[in-house]
Amino acid sequence: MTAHILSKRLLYLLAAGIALSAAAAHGRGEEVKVTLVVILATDRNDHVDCELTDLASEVQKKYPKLTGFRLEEMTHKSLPVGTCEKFPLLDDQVATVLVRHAADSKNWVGLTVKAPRQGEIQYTTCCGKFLPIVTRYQTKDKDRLILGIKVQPCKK
Amino acid sequence: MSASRPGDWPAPTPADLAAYVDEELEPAQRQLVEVWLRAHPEVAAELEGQRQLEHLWSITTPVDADHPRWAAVLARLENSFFHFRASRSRRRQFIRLGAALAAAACLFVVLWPRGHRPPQEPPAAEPLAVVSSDDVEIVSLRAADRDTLVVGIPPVTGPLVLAAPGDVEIKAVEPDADGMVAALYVDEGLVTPMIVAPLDTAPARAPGNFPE
Repeated sequence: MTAHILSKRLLYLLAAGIALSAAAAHGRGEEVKVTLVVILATDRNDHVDCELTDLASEVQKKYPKLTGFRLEEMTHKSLPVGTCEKFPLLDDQVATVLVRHAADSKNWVGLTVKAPRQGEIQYTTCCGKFLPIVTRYQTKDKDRLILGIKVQPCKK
Repeated sequence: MSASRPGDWPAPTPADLAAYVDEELEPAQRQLVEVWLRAHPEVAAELEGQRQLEHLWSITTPVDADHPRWAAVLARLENSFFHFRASRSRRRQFIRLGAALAAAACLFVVLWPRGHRPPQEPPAAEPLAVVSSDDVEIVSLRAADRDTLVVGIPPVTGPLVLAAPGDVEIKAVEPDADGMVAALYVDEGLVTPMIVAPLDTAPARAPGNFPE
């Protein structure tokens, strides 16, 4: 009888260990640090913040009339995998970021991003680099809202 | 006062009556006034009242002190005054002396070293604990406030490192409520891929890595 109870407990422990291992293997419990920058692009001036020179030159290839680029806000949050988090932007707008999975074998992270005035986008990206998102949201001064999203940490 | 009948004689003047009361009239005039007064008893009664008042005044007038008595009184007053000033001056000196002794006693108590104990060192001021950059994580920051940040590292510290074309892979894109679909914009001239949502509602026509 006693041996039967002990073997039953061992089975429970074994099952719990297997479940934890599976969760860890899928990245659950891990946190991904998401950095989001808010940028306003305008055609009313040609001032470009020093952090945005590369981004400005790239955006101007598509939108040559956008000559001024100003960094407005920067936020970073550590998000557990599977957690959806809102990032405040400007004019009461928000961007929603969901970490679908942490860095995989390719060292890429899966994200789902919902920016203002556009649908959700699911993508995977490498660590440590910003992906620009040129939204179609415009302020009352017709400045264009651009987001930059980066994930960390990166596996060695 | 030369009339034939006493009642017809002219009335004596007030000065005559006053001189009569003071017994300063000549005998003839005095006799004439007395005759007139017998004819005028009311005036005579009034004069009699004045005479009694004068008598009462004379017997009740205080005796005037003579000069030696006044001199003695003055001498006593002067002695008392100088004696009072002298005693007051001595009292003031006593109060000043007491105050000086009290002040000296206070200084003695404060300044006198207590026994042979070494002087106590003032407690060393503890350094003000200030958080370091490792203790603080700046979660969100307005870009305009970067220069005012004293401790901590802002989320972005330098030029943005942008993703390369091979660093991003789109998995799925949902259209917005008006049908607009954003897309990954990767052109041959671009160094960086961008997700672009066009201003018009037409789906983006970006070449390259479109979502499937």
